[in-house]
Amino acid sequence: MKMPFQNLRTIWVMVGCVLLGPAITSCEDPIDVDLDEGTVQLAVDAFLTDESGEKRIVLTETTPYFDNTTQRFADGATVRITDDLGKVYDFQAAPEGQGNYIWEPDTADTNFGEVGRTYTLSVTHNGNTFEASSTVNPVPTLDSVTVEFREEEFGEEEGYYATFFAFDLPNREDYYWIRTYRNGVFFDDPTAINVSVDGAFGSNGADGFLFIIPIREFLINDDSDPYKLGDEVRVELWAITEPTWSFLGELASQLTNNGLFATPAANIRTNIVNADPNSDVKAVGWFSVSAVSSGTAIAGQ
Amino acid sequence: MIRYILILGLILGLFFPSIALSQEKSTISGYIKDGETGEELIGATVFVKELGTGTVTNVYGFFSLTLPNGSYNLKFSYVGFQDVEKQIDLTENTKFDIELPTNSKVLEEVVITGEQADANVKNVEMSVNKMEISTIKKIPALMGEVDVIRSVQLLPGVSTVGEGASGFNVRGGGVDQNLILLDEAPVYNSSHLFGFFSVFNPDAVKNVKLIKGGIPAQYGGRLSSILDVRMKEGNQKKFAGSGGLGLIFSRLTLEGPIKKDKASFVIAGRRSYADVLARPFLNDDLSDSKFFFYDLTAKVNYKLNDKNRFFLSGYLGKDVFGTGDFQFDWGNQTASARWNHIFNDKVFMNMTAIYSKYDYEFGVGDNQDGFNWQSNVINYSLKPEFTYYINPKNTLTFGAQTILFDFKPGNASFNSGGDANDISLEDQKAAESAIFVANEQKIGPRIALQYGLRYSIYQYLGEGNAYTLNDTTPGVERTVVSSQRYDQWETVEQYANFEPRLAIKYELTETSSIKASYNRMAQYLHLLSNTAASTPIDVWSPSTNNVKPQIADQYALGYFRNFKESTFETSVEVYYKDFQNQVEYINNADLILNEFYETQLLFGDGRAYGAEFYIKKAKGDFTGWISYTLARTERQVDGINRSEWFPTRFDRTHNLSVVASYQVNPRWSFSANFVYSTGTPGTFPTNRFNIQGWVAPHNSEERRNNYRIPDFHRLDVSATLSPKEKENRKWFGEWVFSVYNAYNRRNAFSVYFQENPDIPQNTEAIRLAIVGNFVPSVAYNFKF
Repeated sequence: MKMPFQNLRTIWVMVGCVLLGPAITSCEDPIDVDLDEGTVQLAVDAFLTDESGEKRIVLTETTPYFDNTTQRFADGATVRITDDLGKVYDFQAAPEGQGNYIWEPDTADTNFGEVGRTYTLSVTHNGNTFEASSTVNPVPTLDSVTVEFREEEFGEEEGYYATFFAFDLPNREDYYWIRTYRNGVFFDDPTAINVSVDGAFGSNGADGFLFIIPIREFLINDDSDPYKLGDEVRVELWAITEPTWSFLGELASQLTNNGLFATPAANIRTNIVNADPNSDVKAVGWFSVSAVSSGTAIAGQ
Repeated sequence: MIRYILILGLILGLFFPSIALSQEKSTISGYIKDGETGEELIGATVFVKELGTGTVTNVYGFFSLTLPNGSYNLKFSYVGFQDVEKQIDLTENTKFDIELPTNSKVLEEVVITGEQADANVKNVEMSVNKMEISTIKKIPALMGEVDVIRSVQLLPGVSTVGEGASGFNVRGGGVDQNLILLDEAPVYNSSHLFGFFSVFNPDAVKNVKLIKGGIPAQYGGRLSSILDVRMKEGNQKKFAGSGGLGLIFSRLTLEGPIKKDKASFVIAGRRSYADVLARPFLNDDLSDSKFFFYDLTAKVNYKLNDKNRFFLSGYLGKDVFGTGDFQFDWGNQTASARWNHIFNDKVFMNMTAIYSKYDYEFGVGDNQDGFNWQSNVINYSLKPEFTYYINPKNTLTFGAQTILFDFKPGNASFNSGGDANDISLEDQKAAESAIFVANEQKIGPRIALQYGLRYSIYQYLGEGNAYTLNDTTPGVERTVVSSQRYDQWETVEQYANFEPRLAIKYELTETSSIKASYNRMAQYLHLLSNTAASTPIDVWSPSTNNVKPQIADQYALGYFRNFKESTFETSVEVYYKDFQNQVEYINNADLILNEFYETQLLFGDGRAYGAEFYIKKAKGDFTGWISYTLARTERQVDGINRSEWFPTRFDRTHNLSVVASYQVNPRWSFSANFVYSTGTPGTFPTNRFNIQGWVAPHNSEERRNNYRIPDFHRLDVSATLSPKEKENRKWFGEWVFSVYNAYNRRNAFSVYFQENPDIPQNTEAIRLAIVGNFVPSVAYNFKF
């Protein structure tokens, strides 16, 4: 449930800008901080879907927080996914390397990401084996995406604004991740990481509703840079698990943890677990498999 | 247990023999008042020249002194007033009121202490700071708005998590560990506009007392301090008014007799008016914006006869923010009704009935698509308190308090596409009761003791669900194993605590003393706040079957010495505090509208220790103080920081305040204050990794508060221009010019880490400064 804090921040900006006017201006500027480097750890980036085509997993290693140049790729790892029927998906190092591992379906075998299946990832790297698993949940149909033109108003530039329409699946607790693309480019503003429980924010309440307006509209638009005439807006609705929802919520809050009401910085959870429970070697990152539905609209059509 | 019975026995043993001795003695009692306004004076002295002894008035201006029959010269005094001497032949119980004439010459000076000049050395109480409102008004203020809480933050042992943050921290205690009382009613949120301004209207405040240690037995319910704010009674003699125009508030206070020397009133209001001024300049889409805050304080008192007096005080404050279909407001309401009754010359009773409420409401959208949330905490309380002036050597205080709490953690609903959904949480109820007894005893000319015991008992009450939680790895979210339903008023869980209190003073010389104190405090309410500064939407929450009461033991030792006839007051105090059941939160805790919020909590121990150095110059044209605190505050919580001790969010190693005021001539005075403190700790990442295109921060060693933000320092200055002296001046207006943050420092409130907005693969540390520049202001204050 992020909404009240986001609004508190809005108030804070209002207070700073309007009420106290030029007299008090809170300000944010970059400063130099000396940070110690911690232990290097394996980082797994594995968000897979049921859509057809190759499946890709990226393995890297953590780097010092302020190191903007070094990339450490975890090459030479063994990467394999097994489903709960015993079917094995062996990932191969991609030709371009750089920690990319891919699995290509052959023509007869395209049903990766089947709803109800549980998939287990196993990564062996530098002598340590890590495991993670994820269950595929059902996803409702994304009925439509619409785009309308709006004049400039408070906090919103003039331009095209999108809304999607979908109903939460009734009689069950569902978790979703809504991903938006403009002309094929993922809308990655960390303040707009859009996750939902049963079409609403919290875990208590709605069921079977139309997705609430902040999710179906506010978080798929960039108020400072709205869609332009002819832009293609694609909205994907990913069914995720409760732990994945928590992971994304924590990621969002750690990427935007600022202001007077910031929470203590905390590590984002991981489901990548060392197969040897006695080992001190830990990894970071996430493994998730989702069923996806989507819709597309063109601004101005 | 035996220990407590012994203490109780000691109290009673002193109590009974003194009754037998009292026959050949008589009692002098009455009130000491301000001769000009009729306002009772708190802490005024009565001195018996022949015996070299005396007493001070209580918070209602009442004194009682029992002496052997005889002839005495009494001297009544209070700083800023002329002394009054009175000769009496004491043969029977005698009652009279004394009015002290104001000393117009002295009034021109700044008077920092209201009491007798050497009270800090002579009184048994330690770890106490009193501020007259006249002192607070001299301190340069942000936007020229005189502020009680921000002034309190300049005292030794008091700190804040940062500029603009709500509340204050006393000797390593959280903001929820301060009991803030406005005429005895608890105030749950002391801030307007987050933490910029406090809710107390300075024009209606009489004095402010902060008790940090050696807390007397009549106070309880919070671990770290009592901030006792007393409102004026209202001028008994004539109708008067005061007020001011500042950049933030306009203020008006009216006071006067309703019936001369019988009843008087005071009513004070403030409202911010930036919205009114801004309205003509706003665009159409902003014209329905709301941003204002106001408060209204009112009090009446009625003196039925010499033995009975009644007071009724009320407070109402609100902050409102909104635009269009969005609104957010919060505020406190308090009411207290008091009855002072004098049973006889030696027994004074105060009975207080209290109502206090803090609520907030948050709404966005409409019936089609919207969200609405309300929350509040209400308490009802009754507190009878008796003071028995046994003899000049013993003053016994005893009484009881009972409080009923009603919590509404969240009444919330949202609408989507016209469908409504109620996601409210169930109300919670609790009762807290206490009995207390304490004696202040003088042994010989040098030693004084204050010892007491408070016994508090707390019940978490139905109706509601109580949950049993599993045990898991510390730091991991717990899960609900089972739940049990309780009926209305059924006790879900009960806690009880003995809270012994002790203070000792030993006078080394006429001008120096050492003091020591011990207190145990129990706290049954917790403010669930996991943010850098506490927010208006933080929820006050009861102790439950899963949340145990917080306990603190504090030991303090101090040396007090005055120089040059108490022109300079100095003290050094050291303290050690041991905390139990401190509330912490799992990583990424979800506290908002969460029925199972208890699963998000962790509990641990705390410790705080430090040394406070204080020099005050209370007399003369040049007044002020220097306060320096060296302190450490840490917690140990299983599941945080690898279960090792870590500094708390409000740990500041060095904390220095310098407050100075200089009266150049009758018209001009200048003030300045300077503060310096070590930066607060923060949790900084060590590493980063890429996930789905984002750069995530990671702290591979899992440390909490492993770095500190830059040190804080700031200088504020002000100048006050008073009108020319003139006989029978009816209207007294003064101008106050001030500059806050005079050398324009960007003090960090926090440092946070983010992707660079333009190049997301580049990470950076950002300093957030709440006040990023110097803030000049002007205010006009008037009195008539």
